[in-house]
Amino acid sequence: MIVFQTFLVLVMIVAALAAARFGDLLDAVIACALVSLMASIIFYFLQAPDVAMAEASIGAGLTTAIFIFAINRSIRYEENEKTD
Amino acid sequence: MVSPILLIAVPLGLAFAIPVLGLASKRVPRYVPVIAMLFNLVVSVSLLPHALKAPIVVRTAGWAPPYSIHLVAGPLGVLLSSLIALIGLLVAVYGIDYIREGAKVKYQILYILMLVGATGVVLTGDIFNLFVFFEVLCISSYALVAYRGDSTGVEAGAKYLIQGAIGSGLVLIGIGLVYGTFGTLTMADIAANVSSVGSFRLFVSLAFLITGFGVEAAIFPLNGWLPDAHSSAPSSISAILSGIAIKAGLYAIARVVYTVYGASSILPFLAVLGIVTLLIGEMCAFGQEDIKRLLAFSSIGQMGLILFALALASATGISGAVFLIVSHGLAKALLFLASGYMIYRTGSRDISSLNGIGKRMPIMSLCFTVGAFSLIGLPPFVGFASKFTIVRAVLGTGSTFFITLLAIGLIGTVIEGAYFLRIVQGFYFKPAPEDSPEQTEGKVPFSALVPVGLLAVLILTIGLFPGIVGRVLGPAADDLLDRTAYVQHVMGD
Amino acid sequence: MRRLISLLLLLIVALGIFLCFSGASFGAEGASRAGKLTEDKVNFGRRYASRGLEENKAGNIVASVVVNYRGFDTLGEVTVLFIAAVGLAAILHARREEATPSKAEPASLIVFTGCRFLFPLILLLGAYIFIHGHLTPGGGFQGGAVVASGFLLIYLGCRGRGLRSAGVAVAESLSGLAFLAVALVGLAVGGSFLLNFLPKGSAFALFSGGVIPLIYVAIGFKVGSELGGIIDNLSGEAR
Repeated sequence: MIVFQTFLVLVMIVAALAAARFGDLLDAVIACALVSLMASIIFYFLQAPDVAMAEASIGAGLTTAIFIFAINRSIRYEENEKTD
Repeated sequence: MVSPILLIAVPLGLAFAIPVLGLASKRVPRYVPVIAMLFNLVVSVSLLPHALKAPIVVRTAGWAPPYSIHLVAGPLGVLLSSLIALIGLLVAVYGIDYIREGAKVKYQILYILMLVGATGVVLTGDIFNLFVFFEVLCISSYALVAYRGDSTGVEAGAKYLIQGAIGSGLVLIGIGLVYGTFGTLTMADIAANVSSVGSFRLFVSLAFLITGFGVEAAIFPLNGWLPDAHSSAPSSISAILSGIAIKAGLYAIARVVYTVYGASSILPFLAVLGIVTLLIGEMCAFGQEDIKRLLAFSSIGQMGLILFALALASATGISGAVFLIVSHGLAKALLFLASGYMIYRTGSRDISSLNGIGKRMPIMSLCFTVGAFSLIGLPPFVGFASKFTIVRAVLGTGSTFFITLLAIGLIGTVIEGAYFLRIVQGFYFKPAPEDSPEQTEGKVPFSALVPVGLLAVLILTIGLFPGIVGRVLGPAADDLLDRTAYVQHVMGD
Repeated sequence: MRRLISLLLLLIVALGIFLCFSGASFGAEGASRAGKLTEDKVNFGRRYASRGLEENKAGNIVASVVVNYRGFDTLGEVTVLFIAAVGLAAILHARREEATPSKAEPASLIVFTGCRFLFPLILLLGAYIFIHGHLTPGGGFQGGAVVASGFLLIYLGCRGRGLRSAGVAVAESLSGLAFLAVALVGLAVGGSFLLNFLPKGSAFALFSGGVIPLIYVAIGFKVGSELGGIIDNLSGEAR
């Protein structure tokens, strides 16, 4: 079980880093949703089903939708910044 | 005696009811904030004598603390909730005609909820509940700053939102650490057990809490959002933000440092921060050409002085700080409200365009002058009494460190005097700009004159008879300083 | 170089926070508290677990913590969500005029029918979650979020349909007022805000827990209508 949870945490970290790196905001939002989904599964294994439900429905579901609506109203791609 | 919880429950209920009332009638919602704040003012003032005898501890859900959330209506809390209700009431009256555009119904809802949040912050006795009400206060102010929907407002709101959200996140981490360490969220319970825990973890959680609350209190390195937010909000909201909202952050810091942690070793650091904040705020204000930005920077400066006085850790010092909270709240609310209609009249926020306005808007200019003189600390206005108390407290400590800091701080007050006198001089002794458009729509309605005039009268009255507020200040200072009594009142059975 | 330094600083901060949290007991043991308070007061998390069932007769201890012991916080949190919804509407109100009508194509027949088929089922699930909040995991917040996701489906799949904003406002108001009214009846009857004044029944039955199910239903409606309102506001041009 501990292996599985470690795997979930690793996926979370990778997804979070990816969300920060992606230039396409839509991809970043999907990565954020992945973080929430993994968190929700971890909460379930930590015997907090209440929090897991809230995280799954709000974090992975509604927040993503709200982000997408917001992107729909603004721009989808980050402007290329200069890197040093 | 009415339960202090009604101070939160009744305005909350009225705010929830506004959408339905708004469907029934377009006019009714404008008057709901006035009713809510009138109720709060009456109840707070009627609670004051009871709170002076002993803090009123109110349980929720029928369980004694620490098992459930409780409110502690001590002298400090009730004094501040009266101040919130008073300023809230006057600004609500002002807002009846001032708010003409946008989603007016939603403005009234957010306005009430912002004041509910501030009231909750000063009354609660539970550290997580403090955070919840702090969020209520902050999130409604983010929305109100951006209320007009123009690009400067939205930009200022977004700036405020981002910095405020980081601050709230830090507070939450701090509370998590506290809960992990003590297994309780009741402030009195934590205070009773603080000595049993190693100092490192205490220090880290305290640092998180002070930094987080410091964002809202606009202490020096954390105040980048304030000038934008306070100047681009509608004037009625600027009055509340400057008069009340930033004080809620400072109250939270004081409550955590004094009552919960009893951390006297951190106080000199806070005193230095306060003086730095004072100097930076006043120096930035000096160079401003925009009247609302000037007032916003002046608020930063005054917050620095309040923080410095709070850090004195003596009864007189804290009385002075609380007195300055009251006097600055009244004066800054007056200044923002008066400048709101001056800006309407001249159509510009430049100080130079306000030249000669003393003839065109005599009452507003007179009230503005009263507020400005009170902020500078000229007798016989209330600002003098409060600043004098602080100076007396510093001299009373007899420590060279604090006296030196105060001497540096006085430079800030001199700068403050310089720029306010410059504005007032412009009002009366400089000719109006040539191309000043004479706008008839800038005519000041009765509903704006009454609150502005009342604030000026209050500033003068309390300045002449400081005893009106002075009776409460001593017990309010003890409320913060005396930890054992606080713990006993809350936990004792 | 700058990136390296910022990474290093981040690591230091992360290490500090990790050290602090790793030592914290998070209520598992009261060992770190050697105060003079009695054993019963040492750890309220444990007390909720041991006495919560008999005190509130709610099968789900989390429900009795959320609605009863720390119900005042819940009221504040519901208010925060309310502020978020109202504030969003207030800011978007000013921008509404500039918004161009959406040119999105209508969804295909399969999506349209699927959404209409799933919508009542999602509502039923949401209602089940908040009505059974005092018995099974979940409650007002979760149920309300599920209900709102049902409306999201309608907005995405069935263009041209959606909530009536007056209806949302009424549901929002009345459910908030219902929460407050229940709490204030407690104040009037037993002198304590949010008091669980109703007969509590026997644990694990549908009609048990006193006021907990009532408040949870009110929260469910409130959260559902607030989140629904947020979605409605953001997808505004679609209508």
